Amino acid sequence: MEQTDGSLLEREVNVAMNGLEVSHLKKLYGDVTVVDDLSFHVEPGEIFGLIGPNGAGKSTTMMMIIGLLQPDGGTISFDGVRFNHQNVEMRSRLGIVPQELAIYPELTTIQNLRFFGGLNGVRGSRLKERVDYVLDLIGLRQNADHTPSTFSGGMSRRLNFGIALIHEPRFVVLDEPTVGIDPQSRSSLLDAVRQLGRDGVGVLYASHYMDEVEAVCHRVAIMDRGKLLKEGTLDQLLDRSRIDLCVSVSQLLPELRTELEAIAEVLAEPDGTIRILVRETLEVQKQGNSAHLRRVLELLERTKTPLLGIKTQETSLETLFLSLTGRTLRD
Amino acid sequence: MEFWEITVKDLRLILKDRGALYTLLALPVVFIAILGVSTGQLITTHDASKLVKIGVVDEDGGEISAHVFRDLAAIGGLQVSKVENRDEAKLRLQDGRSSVVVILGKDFSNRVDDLNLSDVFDTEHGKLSAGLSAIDMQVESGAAFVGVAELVQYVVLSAVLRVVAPEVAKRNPLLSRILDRMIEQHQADLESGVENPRPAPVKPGSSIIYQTLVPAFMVMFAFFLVNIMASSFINERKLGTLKRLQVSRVTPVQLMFGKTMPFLIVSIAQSVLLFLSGKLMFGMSWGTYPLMLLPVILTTSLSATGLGLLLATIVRTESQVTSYSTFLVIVLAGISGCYMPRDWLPDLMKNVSLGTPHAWALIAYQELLTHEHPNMLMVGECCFILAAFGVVCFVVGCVRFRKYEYST
Repeated sequence: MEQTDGSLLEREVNVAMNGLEVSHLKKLYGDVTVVDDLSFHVEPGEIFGLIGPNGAGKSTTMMMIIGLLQPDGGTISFDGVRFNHQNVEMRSRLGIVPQELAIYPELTTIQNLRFFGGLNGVRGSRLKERVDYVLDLIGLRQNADHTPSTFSGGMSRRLNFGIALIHEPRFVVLDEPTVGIDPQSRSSLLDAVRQLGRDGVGVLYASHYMDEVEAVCHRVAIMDRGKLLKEGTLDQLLDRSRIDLCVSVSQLLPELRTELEAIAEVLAEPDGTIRILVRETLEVQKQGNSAHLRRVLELLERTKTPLLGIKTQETSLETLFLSLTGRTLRD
Repeated sequence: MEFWEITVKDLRLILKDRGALYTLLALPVVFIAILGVSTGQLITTHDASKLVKIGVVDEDGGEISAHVFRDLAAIGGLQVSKVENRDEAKLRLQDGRSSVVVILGKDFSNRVDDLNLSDVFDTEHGKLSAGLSAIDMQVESGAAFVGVAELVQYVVLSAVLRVVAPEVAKRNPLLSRILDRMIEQHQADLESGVENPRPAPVKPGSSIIYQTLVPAFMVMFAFFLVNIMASSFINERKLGTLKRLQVSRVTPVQLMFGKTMPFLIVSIAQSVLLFLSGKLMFGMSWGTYPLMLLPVILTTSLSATGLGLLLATIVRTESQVTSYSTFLVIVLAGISGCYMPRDWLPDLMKNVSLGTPHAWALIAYQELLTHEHPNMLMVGECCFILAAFGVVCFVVGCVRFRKYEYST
């Protein structure tokens, strides 16, 4: 079969790579760069977490991936083919779960599913099969003929998720899919996301819930101010061989602070207390050779500084996220 | 055919939205019915209350005076009754049982006998120049007609002349023969089946108001859907479903088409319903060529939905929808002559109104509904302009939608 010039252009294959490939993506709003040289790759069957504080550029990135925003630079490819929003076939490989409840409250569950199925070219017996599959997956079979206006938040979220899957997409973009839902619905939804991965569907999962990202994502990218700060598997990102020991005091003498900063991280908390963070490897801990901790305690004892508390803290995605993006409030 | 999925979905949503249905379908019918009642055209169609009540005092009691009475009674819109005497007539005028009183004096027949041909054909200089008193007649109007007393006298004089003129003419032998020959000719024409002039398609009387009223408010209400259409887009945007539609297989043009079609269908249904209501409830006529109403209905709906689509791509909030659409509906209807007959508009306004699709729709309806032989070229021109307006709005709307919803 002959290929048109257009499709030849689209087949600007840089690497014969499957899945989503985002390369040097850039977006400007006036003089402000909201996405700056962003690159990452999501394999088929991989669940890729995208996290960042408000204004990090996550939503802009997702809007460019689904073709509703034109990038000012860089490329987006699916299965090695450059993404073009005009390409209907390429669009129909995508499923999106917007942060808002993108469902029609006046239509029943089944009418919502059928409508979006039909809109994506799924008809007849295949549509029936897909509706059945999705109803089971999202646990709404009993509510197939009910309208979402009678649903709980969790049920509506599940329907919002199910609609994205009705046409059997190869890649799904999830933007905060679990906002404001009960633990049961959340757990069911996360199971469904894992199932997508097992079915070979690539998933881009954006969320502010770090525990969710840790629970379902194979790889994670942390971005802030439009830039990619860190990317990798959870094991790569989180050094699980280390542990933080946190000593809290009410005040510190200036000369003591200088001494402490040589062996630990000294952080002023918003409530006025001071946190002294000592990082030790688990190996050192187990062997009882916590030299840094011992030294910190000695210094505090010598200066008669009263201790408010002492606790251990494993490195988590949240602590990593906060250490990378800071604790300053974002708008 | 993915656009059809959107059309079916939106039709389903409109059918579930009772408020929208009421605004689009029931409100126009109710509105026109209320206007009909308030102008006395509905319910009181056969009510004697709207007839002009004339009391006739016949003091003469002759054959001609009886003929005058019969002739007055035959005039449509009048309720003529005999009154015993002048005192009774005065009482009736006072209590409103009669609006006008006509007194045929005792000397009426004699005075008519004294009239010459010149008096009848030259009323300015002959005996009748003195008015009805010359033949011993008096006309008195009640409070309701006091401002138009002269007009009433003129009408009564005309009615009297219809009776008196042939009587006077018959006294002349030559004219009498001519009159007899004319009567014979009419009789022969009737027997040979010579076609009488066709009755006008528009029924005279009460339903005529609906020939103007129904199309005027139909055009105004057709543009009411601009509001509901724009709200439908705002809702898609607010719900986030617009994103899903945009990422689906439908192209921007298909999406626009799919969103426009249901409102076009509703608009056509609205117009058909109003014409049916006009016919069934108010006895309005659909003109000589009822089928020609269909292209006007279609193109008017096309222009209304085109404008609705364009507005939908401009507004971003519900309050913008309300203010913009209210402005469009009320101002355009006012300029174009939906609130009053277009003939009442001054020339300047008539020309300005041609900038609105409403005006073209009204011209087409007026041509089809109130003319026995409508100018089809004019109707075609109106339809073309309405369709062009709708298509231009649709294209500009699509360009705007593509520009602002896909690539900002």
